[in-house]
Amino acid sequence: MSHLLTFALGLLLGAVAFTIVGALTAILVLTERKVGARIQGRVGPMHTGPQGSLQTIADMVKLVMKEDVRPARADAVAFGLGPLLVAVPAILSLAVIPFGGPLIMRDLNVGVLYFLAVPGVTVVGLLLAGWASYDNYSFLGGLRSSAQFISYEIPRGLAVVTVVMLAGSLSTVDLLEAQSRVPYIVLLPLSFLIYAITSLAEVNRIPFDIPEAESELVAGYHTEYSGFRWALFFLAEYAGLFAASAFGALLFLGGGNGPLLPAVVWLILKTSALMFVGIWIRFTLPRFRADQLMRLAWKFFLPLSLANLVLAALVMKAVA
Amino acid sequence: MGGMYLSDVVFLLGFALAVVSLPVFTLAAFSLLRPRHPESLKGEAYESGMPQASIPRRPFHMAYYNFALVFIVFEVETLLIFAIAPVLRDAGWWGLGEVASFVVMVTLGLAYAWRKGALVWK
Amino acid sequence: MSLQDSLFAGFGLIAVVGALYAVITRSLLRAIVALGAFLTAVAGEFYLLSADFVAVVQIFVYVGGILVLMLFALMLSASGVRHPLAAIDRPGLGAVLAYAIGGGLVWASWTAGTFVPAELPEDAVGALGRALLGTQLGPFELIGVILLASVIAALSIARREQP
Repeated sequence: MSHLLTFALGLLLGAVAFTIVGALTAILVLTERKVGARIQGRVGPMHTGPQGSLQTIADMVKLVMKEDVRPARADAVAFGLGPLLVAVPAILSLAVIPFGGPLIMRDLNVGVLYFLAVPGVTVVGLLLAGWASYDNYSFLGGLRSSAQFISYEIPRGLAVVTVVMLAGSLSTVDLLEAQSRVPYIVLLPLSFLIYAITSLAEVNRIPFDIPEAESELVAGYHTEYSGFRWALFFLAEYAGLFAASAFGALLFLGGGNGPLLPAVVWLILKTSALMFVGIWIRFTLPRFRADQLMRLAWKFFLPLSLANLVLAALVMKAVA
Repeated sequence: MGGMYLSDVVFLLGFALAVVSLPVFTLAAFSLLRPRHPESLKGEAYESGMPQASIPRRPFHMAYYNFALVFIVFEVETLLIFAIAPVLRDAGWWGLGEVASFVVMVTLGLAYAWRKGALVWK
Repeated sequence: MSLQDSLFAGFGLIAVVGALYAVITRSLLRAIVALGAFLTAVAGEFYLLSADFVAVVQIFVYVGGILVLMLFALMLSASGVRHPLAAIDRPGLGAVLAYAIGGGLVWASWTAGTFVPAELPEDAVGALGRALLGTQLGPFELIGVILLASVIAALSIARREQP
């Protein structure tokens, strides 16, 4: 394939990924509000469209039309760069997930590491946004969320490495083939649990949403943002939830493998199941305190994931 | 072989260009439709309706820095395990023992940081 | 000039501009952001030279780790906030050192001849792992010891300041 064609394909799939994430955010926000309402015995949004189904569309239109306010003492460059550096890596990480059918993205030799490395850039964006706003809440929120992110990155990486050990490859497509008979959740249940819980922390969702703890930090690092710039943070959160769920489905649930239905459908089904669990947890569990959060990462998940390495090595020997 | 890496880079550049330019374009395009009513109060930092009590850019406690330091060490260790993970299947018990000794050293580092109280959040 | 060379030159240009800006700017924050652009461009160079593992590690450790550490240092100490970065104490010595290192690097790359991406085995990532477990086992275990030492060193330096 000529390079021009590859470039055009990249452009197209990038645009598709951005559009899908945008549409998905609309769907997920509505789902989240409806599911949350059901769990808490409310009805949720009802007025825009039938059963409130057009509510998030209206919200999105409103958001892009809102005034773009920037605090007078904010650092203009960092204030603008912050939301972009949070949203762009979250979407970029989708480039290695094999969706099957027409949406096979890119099979990199080091796809698994790419998926773990690129969202790490988000931390820089969080810190810049919090610092640039010149606001105490933003500053604390930026520091806290980045400390949380880096703390959970290590147990998460150590959980993913066990899958790489069994599959013998860092390519996401090879991982898919390696699970054609048995999905890895059967062989590595503990790795899956560690991955799932630390991923919730990586995308800042309850019970790990300390940076956005409304009762103490207003809205954390995005307190001072409004309109479309604020929407970018929101987009990043749902892009992160989507990417982590799709990657989890790929690593542990056999991705697009499944009988009868096409691969795309299987992957979407498995991803949606994981995303639903994420939403369910949000309305079930209370929020952790900052010190509990850090203790859990370093004194529970890190030792556990090191022990899990040994367990996975034994499983690997047993399978081979 | 080299050609594959080149086309990976070309693909990722295209992907990144689309993902960066779409939000920037949206932000720029809607600036024509957005209201703009600058007012001095809007420029104030939000502090629950009060005037800002203290400036945020002042020295802050170092626990964050300790965590970041320990994080980098463990990150490098994780990546080294990633480097050997794909071939571990074929490495035999001897290879596993070599990796185990590496993991033991990682664990010793964790135990040291734990003992010294660097993992306590204050 | 082939596409490979022009992309390599493009990443190089970004890297040089980023590095220069990081040195010239008076704002510590902008210096760190420019350094981020530099590090990302270098990762691109690595990937073009078929070193994909190194490229991803570059993003992982330097952008996601070292850069974050620098931002923490800036934000926690609030340095360079009230007054911009001052000129260094002994500009003469600094200039001599900078020109010596810079000149050495230019001379080294000038005399090194043209760049040819290395001949790669079919499974480059696997080859790296096998090397770490085989011929490079000594360095691999040594890295483990060094990292253990660096945890100890980092903590004793960082904690000395505290009561």
